[in-house]
Amino acid sequence: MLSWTPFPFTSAYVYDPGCVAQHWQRLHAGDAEPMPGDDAVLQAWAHFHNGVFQSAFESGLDLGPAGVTVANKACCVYANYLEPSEKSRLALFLETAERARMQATIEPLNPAAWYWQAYALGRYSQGISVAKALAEGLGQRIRAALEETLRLQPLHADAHVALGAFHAEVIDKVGPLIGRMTYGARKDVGLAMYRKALVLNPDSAMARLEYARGLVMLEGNPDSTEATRLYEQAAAIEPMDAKERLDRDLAQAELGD
Amino acid sequence: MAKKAPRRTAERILEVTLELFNRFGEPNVSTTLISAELNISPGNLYYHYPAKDELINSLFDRYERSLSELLNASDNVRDVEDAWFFMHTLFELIWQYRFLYRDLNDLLSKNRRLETHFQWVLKNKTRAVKALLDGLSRAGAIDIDSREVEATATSMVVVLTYWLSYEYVRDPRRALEPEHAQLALMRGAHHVLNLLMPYLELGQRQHLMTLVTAYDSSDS
Repeated sequence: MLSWTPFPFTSAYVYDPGCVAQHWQRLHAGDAEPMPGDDAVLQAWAHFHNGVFQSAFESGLDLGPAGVTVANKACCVYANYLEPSEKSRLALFLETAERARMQATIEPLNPAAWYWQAYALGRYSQGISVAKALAEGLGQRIRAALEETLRLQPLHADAHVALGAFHAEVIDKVGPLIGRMTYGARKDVGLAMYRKALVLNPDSAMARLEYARGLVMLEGNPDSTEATRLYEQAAAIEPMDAKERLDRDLAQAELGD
Repeated sequence: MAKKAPRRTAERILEVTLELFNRFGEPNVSTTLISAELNISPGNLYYHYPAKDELINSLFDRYERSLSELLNASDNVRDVEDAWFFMHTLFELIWQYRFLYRDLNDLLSKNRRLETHFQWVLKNKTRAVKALLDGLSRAGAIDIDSREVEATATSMVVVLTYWLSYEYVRDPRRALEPEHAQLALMRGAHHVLNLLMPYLELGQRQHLMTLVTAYDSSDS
């Protein structure tokens, strides 16, 4: 496999498996992932939290079923934040969606299998254009996978964010009427999803960035005070790991322009 | 907290993308190049524009809005000087979004929005040119049989739409660079209006020739 573009702040986070276990609850407040008992899996997560996404991905895959979730998360985060080539990025999302789909057939009660399938397909859809993805029937698949995630794990903050984004994207791209009739997308439900995510995970910069983006799509005002307030909050959050750092930096870039 | 300037990342991305598309052609500009040129992370670019198609669509929407406004002004054209000014302004707008015309067929084949909306652009241009011919006719600047209006308007729209492609083929390495804008636009406006020559009233015909000569000498 080709080398992935490295996380730019390589020594900013130096988690080891023990340290990851100690801070597990805070680090996984977004995905409500249960803490693994196996040290090797914790080591793969340590790579993820340190921003060594390729090692997290590869060691996750080597671990078999116990490592699929960390591999999928590392792959999606890398593709979304750091992969410079649009083509490679889309390929990584499709591969992840397929791995997560297989995972869900073997472990149908694992919320992460459904969530990463939805996340990868959602980002893929945004990447090829949401209108095209909806025409290909991906909308129903994404929505169903997110609802299944929440049925299995109602405290999954990130799935709430993704469902909020689903409503916002559909309404933005096909309009409120068709969005509602064809895909059941509703502005009030979308906004409620973002707010619920922030209740579940108040320290999330990502939830705020997505909420701000959703507000712009649903309200149509890029300079709204509410969106700016969300960016300010996101920019002020002290990141606990590499991914949170990437979110925080994005918010700061947005404000520092 | 001190009041911050409005956030401008999305706007800045669009401005730089337009510049890159215009210089190198849309197919030759990757999202990698756009984020590098802006010195922002790929994640930041994807956050605002998750697909390159969204950049194309946003730029096209802007072009379509400006074009629509401008084309509505064709009703007010009364003489050859108005027509000259109108064509110049129209070419300037096309120049600002020249990437659309540089790779038009390629863009149409891969972007559904452009595929449908560009037909509207052509219709709207034809409607505006017909209104221009009608205004000139009513003011006595041209004498044209109503049966010839449709074909003349269509010919003018074809030249208007494909003039930059013609310029590009003549000199692919330099034609679309900013320093060639003035001459290319002037030639375009001249050739579109030249199609009116057979119909222009004598005084107007001489005036058009004077305008062309004046611009020719000022630009050479």
